[in-house]
Formats: sequence, C-alpha cells, structure tokens
Amino acid sequence: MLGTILLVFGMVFLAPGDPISRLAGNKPLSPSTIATIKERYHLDQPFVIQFFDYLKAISHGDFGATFTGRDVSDIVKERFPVTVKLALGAFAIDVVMGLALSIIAAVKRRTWIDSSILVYTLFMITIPTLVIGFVLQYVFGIKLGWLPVAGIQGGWQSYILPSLTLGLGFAASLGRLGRSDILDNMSGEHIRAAHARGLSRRRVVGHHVLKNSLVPIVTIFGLDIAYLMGGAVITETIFNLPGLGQSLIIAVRTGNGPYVVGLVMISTIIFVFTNLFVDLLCARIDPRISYE
Amino acid sequence: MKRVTAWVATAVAVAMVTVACSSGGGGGGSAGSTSAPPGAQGGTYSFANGEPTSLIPQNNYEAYGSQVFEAIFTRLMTYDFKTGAPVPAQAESVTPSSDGLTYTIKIKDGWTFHNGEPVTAQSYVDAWNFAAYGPNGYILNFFFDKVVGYDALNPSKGKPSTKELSGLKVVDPTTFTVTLTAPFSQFPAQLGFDAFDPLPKAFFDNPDAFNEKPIGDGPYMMDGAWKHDETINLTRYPDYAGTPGFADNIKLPMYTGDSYWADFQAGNVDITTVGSSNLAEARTNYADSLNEQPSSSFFFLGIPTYDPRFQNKELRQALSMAIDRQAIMTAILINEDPADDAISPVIQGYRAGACQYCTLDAAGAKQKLADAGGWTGTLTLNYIADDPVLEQAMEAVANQWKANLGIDVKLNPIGANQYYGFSLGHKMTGPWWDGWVMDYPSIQDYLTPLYGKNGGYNVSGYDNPAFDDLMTQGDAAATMDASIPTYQQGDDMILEDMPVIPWGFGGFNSVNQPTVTNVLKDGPLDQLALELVQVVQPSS
Repeated sequence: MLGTILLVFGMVFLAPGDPISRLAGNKPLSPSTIATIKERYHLDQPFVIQFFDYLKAISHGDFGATFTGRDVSDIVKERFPVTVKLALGAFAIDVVMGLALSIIAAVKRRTWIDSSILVYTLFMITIPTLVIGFVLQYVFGIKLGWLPVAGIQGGWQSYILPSLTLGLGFAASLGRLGRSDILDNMSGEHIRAAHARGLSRRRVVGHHVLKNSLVPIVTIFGLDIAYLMGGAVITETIFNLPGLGQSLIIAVRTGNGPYVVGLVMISTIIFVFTNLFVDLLCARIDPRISYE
Repeated sequence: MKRVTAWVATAVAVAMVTVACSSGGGGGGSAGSTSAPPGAQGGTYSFANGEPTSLIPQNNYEAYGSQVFEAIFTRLMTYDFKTGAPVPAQAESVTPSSDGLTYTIKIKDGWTFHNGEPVTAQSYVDAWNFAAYGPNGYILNFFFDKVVGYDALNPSKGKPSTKELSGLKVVDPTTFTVTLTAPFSQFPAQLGFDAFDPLPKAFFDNPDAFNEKPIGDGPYMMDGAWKHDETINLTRYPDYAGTPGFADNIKLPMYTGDSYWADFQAGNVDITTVGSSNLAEARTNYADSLNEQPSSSFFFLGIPTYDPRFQNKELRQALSMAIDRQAIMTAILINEDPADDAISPVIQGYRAGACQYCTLDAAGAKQKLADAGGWTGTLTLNYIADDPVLEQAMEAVANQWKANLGIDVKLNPIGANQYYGFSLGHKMTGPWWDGWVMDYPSIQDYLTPLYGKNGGYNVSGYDNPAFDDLMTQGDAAATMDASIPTYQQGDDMILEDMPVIPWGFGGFNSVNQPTVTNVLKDGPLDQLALELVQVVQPSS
C-alpha cells in the first residue's frame, strides 16, 4: 500500500506543469498571493517533506484538499454513494445475467441456444464500454426518451443505462467462464452418481453442480465488484454521474497531486477490502478453502 | 483573462468557436431593459453549466462561476449590448478627476443584498481591500494593481503592515473614491468585471459559508446551497431594486464531458452552449434556435521574437500571408472566423480588414520571404497535444507553408500541462498556436497585456518603447472614446510588426428548446444574459 502511495504521489509531483498558474488562468499573481497558496498546500516544501506530511495527514483521515479549497474527504463522501449505486446496479446485472448465461449455455450445450450465447458473449466482450454506453444513451435516452441520459436527477432511473453499460460486458465475460466451469463440473463422477441415484435433473444441476461451480464464479464476482467500487471512469463521464471515476479525471486534469493520490488510495483500500470480504465468503461456501 | 486553451484542452462542453452571423447580441438597448410582452414573466428553465471552482467573485477566474455571478450580482457597470461600452448599473455615476487619477464613484441608493443588508460604498471598499490583500491568496488580486497602496498589501517578502488600500476612501454611504497610480482611461470598463463586485458583511463573518451559498445584490439569489457536481439553483430576489428578470427560477445543472449534448437532445435541459464538436450537428438539427455570435476570444500564432531566426518582420509577415485561414475554418475549425485585426469584433475600436497581411497571398508571401533573406532549416510549429481538431488545422497550416513558401515544417504537439511553461517562459522553438480571452471589454486589454513590455501575457517577447508610449498615451486619454484612436495606432503597429500572426476569432453559440425564448449572449461578455431568458407560457 505504501508503495502505491509513493508511486502515485511521485508521478503526480513529477508531472510537468504548474497547478497554481493553471488555477489562475495562467495570469500573473502577486508574489504574496502565490506565497499564500504555496504555503496552504505545502507546495514550497521538497518532495520528501511533502510526502511525509501527506502520510501523517492520512493517518488522521485527512486526505488533503483540492486546489480550490475543498477537502478531498468531503468530496469522496459526496461522490462515493453514486459510485456504490452504480457498482451495485452493474453488479446485479453481472450476477443475474452472468449466471443465467452460464447455466443456460452449459445445460443446453451444443444446441443453437449455446451457440447464440457464445456469439453474443463474444460480441459483448469485444465491444468497448464506450460504445455500449453511447449506443444505449442514444437509443433509449434520446431517440426513445424512456430513460434519463445524464446526471442523477432522475433518481434510481438514472442508474439503469449506466448499470447496463457496465454490467453487460461483465456478464458476458462471466457467462463464458461460468459456462466452462459448470461444464467441467457436470462431467464429474459425483454428478453421474447423483443421476444414477435418480435425482431430478434440476436438482442435480441446481444443487450439486452449481454449488461446486460457485467458488471460481464467486471469485470472479469478487474481482468484478472490487473493480466496480473503484469507480468506472468512462461510464461516469458518458452519463455525467458525479462518482469517484469522474473525480479522478478532474483531479488529473487539474494536476492536483493530493487529490489524485487521495482518490487512488481510497480506490485501493476499497478494492482490498472488497476482495477480502469475498475471500471470506468463498471460505464459507467451500470449507476446503479455509483449511488451505 | 482565462486562457482559451483551458476550454479547448479539456474539449468540454463550453468550448466555443463559431462564425458570426449577426453582430452583437440581438437584444438592443442595455441589458435588462428589454420590455416584455405580458405573460413572459415567471416559469423555470435550466441552462447547462459546469462545476465552478469558487463562488466568491474575487476568487474565480473561469466561465462556470462567472455565469452564476452574472445572475446573482449587479456590479457598478455593465456593458451595452450593441457597442460593448460600459454603462452604469449599480453605480449612479463614475467620474474621473481632471488629472485622471481619482475616480469618484456614486452608487444608487436603496439597494440591498439578498440577506437584506444594504449595499453601501463600504461594501465595495471592504471587498476590494480583501481581494487586494496578498495573504488572502485570492486569484483576482492582481486586478487591483493600479490602485494606490497595492504594493503595500503585496510585499515580495514578509507580511503587509496594513489591510487596506490607501487609494480607496469612503466619502459617505453612497460615495467612495479610487485613486490610481497612473491615469487609466479604461478603468470604467474594468468595473464591470467580477473582481469589483460588492460583498455583504456576512461574507467577512464566514467566507467558506459564503462560498457554498453566495449572497449577492443581483436579480436572482441562491435557492439552497451549491450542490457540488450536481446543480446550482437560483430563484428571483423579490426585493431587487433594478429591472427584474423574466423567469422566476433558474437551474444551472453541471456537466462534464459531452453529456450536456445528450441531455439537450433528450429534452432534459432547456438551453446549452454548443461546443465545436457538436456545432455541425447543431447547424443541421437545431438551426432555428441556434444563435451564433462572435466571442471575445482572439486566436493567434505566437512568434518567438526572442529567437534570432524570427527577428525579421518580413519573415513574420510572409508566414502570415501564406496561410489560407478561411479554407481551414470552413473545413476544420468551423467555430472560428478568420482574424482580420488583433482586436476582437465585440470590442469598440475593432476595424474589419485592419490587418493587411492576414489574407492569403502566396506570391506576395514568397516575395516577402525572399526580401527577408529566406529561411533555411526546419520550422517547428507547436500546438497543444491531444486535440485532434486542432492537430488537423495545424497540419493544414504546415502544408500551406510548405507549399506556398517552399520551407520545411515540422509539427510539435506539446502537452497542455507544459504548454504555458514554454510560451510564458519564452522557450518556444517556433511559432505556436495560442489564444487570448479578454478580462474586460476594452481595446487596451488586447494590446498591453500581450505586447506591452511588462504585459502579463507577453508571450512573443515583443519589446517596443514606441508601442509602450502609445499605450501610456491611450491610458491618459480623457475618456474611453477619446482613447480609442490612440490605441488603434498601437494596434496598427502590431499588425505591421507582427509579433503574433492573427489567426481567428472564436464564437459563442447557444441552442435552446422551444420551451424558452429570448436567449441572448450577454453583450460583449462570453456568457448568457440569464435574466433576459423568457419561459414560454402556455397561451390560455
């Protein structure tokens, strides 16, 4: 974690360009004014001191301020719920569609249903999120006018198109991975034994196959949700959602070191914790894991 | 003012550039006095804006904040829609002394801030002192550098011994005087700019709270606090002493990226400005509401006159004459018009065709180049990276120079973050693309900052005592009108010496849904006159 902070801090610090003059529209500021701004944001200190100041601050939960005086922690508090809602929405689609695609494809393998699902998922994986986003926005938001296209003023409906934009891609990936995973399991000896014992096909697939397939699938879910929680930059920009992803673009664009580092740090923390949570969940599903 | 490239580099919504179809804003008369047909009062409308950096007028230097201030503040002067000349707004009169050093400013009586406090001479003086005080770190601090006492508030070392500009004096509740270090005929034009807004006592009690919910003296007031990254909502200020606005409520939702355009097409926002990436579509699909006006932006190709290779003016003239600006702007930079002066068309004193080297003349250019002694080696053309449209335009310029002058040209994109280090730091290795947006509508603001010896944006390195003299003479003129011919002589000098190659004038375009009418650019300023927009009422 420390390495990450150092790396990101270093990169932003070394990036050329003077954030103060950009803030002032590259116009002249009096030496007094410049001195005040530099002092306020510790820009007059050498790199090492700035870095340690920063470490000290974040251990108190103070992630610094943007160059227009807003606390990074305030900004994160405002933006995080938006990212969470988007993440959960996308995740829901990921889970529901992903599982559906995997199971149907596996169960109906080698039929035309299976083939169409394979083609569809290949298609969806290849298309960039950007394209999916714009197409959905245009068709459903502009042409048909069914759903909001920008901002969060439309309440939960504002999250439908963005969630689809993100979720469809994830679901497609999951669909393929899940399908091969399930197929592997379906040919196991324990399954043939279950069939031999006369259990219904639904019970065999739904209970025995799925339970064993779940571990790798849930691991993928974990990675997906962890990634989503970090903020989807492209989707948030297309749909003008004020989440963490959008703030990262703003932070980089304004050359605001503490802001960028703060955001990356927070994203990293979220990612790590979400992953941990998922690992624990996996251990519950499959007790064998907790003994490894 | 703010660098035009800030807009271009971010390729965001409010980047503007268009061909001017009609001149000035269509409103006629001065802002706020258009008489309305009955029923045009009332209603709510929305205008796509972006997230401001600050809502304290003295600490904001970008367009999104300025647009908000346009509705919530009425300042001393405003600008005539047709001519751009300053006219008193909250001021009753602004009168210079006979030596031009002291201005007596009388304000109108009976005006109040949105919290009920009276607007007094003290409201102005206190606000200006606060901004001029270096340790406050306010961005618009330098606007007060012509007032006596500024240096004492901005020492190069240590803390100032006082917090007040000695050049500001309150005479009575509605009168104060401003003493300048030297005569400056353009001072009345400066008074229409955000830096000179009055502030209520409530600001000084808690500037941070003020930033979240500013209290002005304009026709509209904040309706709730600033909802960061979401919206700023305004509502009519019922006790406004001036001409009231038409609509009752104004919403200013914030957009980043291109999503404002999607929302406009979906009918979710009433008015938006049109960036150059959407202009072609706007001209086709929204032709009836599209309003294309010239903005105050002046684009140019800077020339590094500090580089010995570029010190011959005939070489610079040749480079200018070898470019077909119109062709490039018809095909690529569709939001621009070719520049034919070094002054924007929205400014008093602009003369169409003043630049004699600004139209394509390939034969003439070749001749000039020969007269200058020719050019050997490679010419490097610099521009801001990551802007595909700009890159195309620069490629076209390079090709034209190659074809018309027979010289070798190399393109050099430079990252936005480093760009001003090169231009302001006089480190450019060849001509570069650049732009200027005015701070206040005055011909002087296009000359002194760019070409004056100590000009804040003298990127070309131009140093001409004769030019500086003309500027001082213009500054000392008795009135703004009287100053114009003198400044125009300075303009002529620049157009002849060509330390920069005038390139284009930008545009400011807006489109709106049929739900609103009377959507007008705010005179010479690059913003909308929010108080003039009328919500279409259903005919009963």
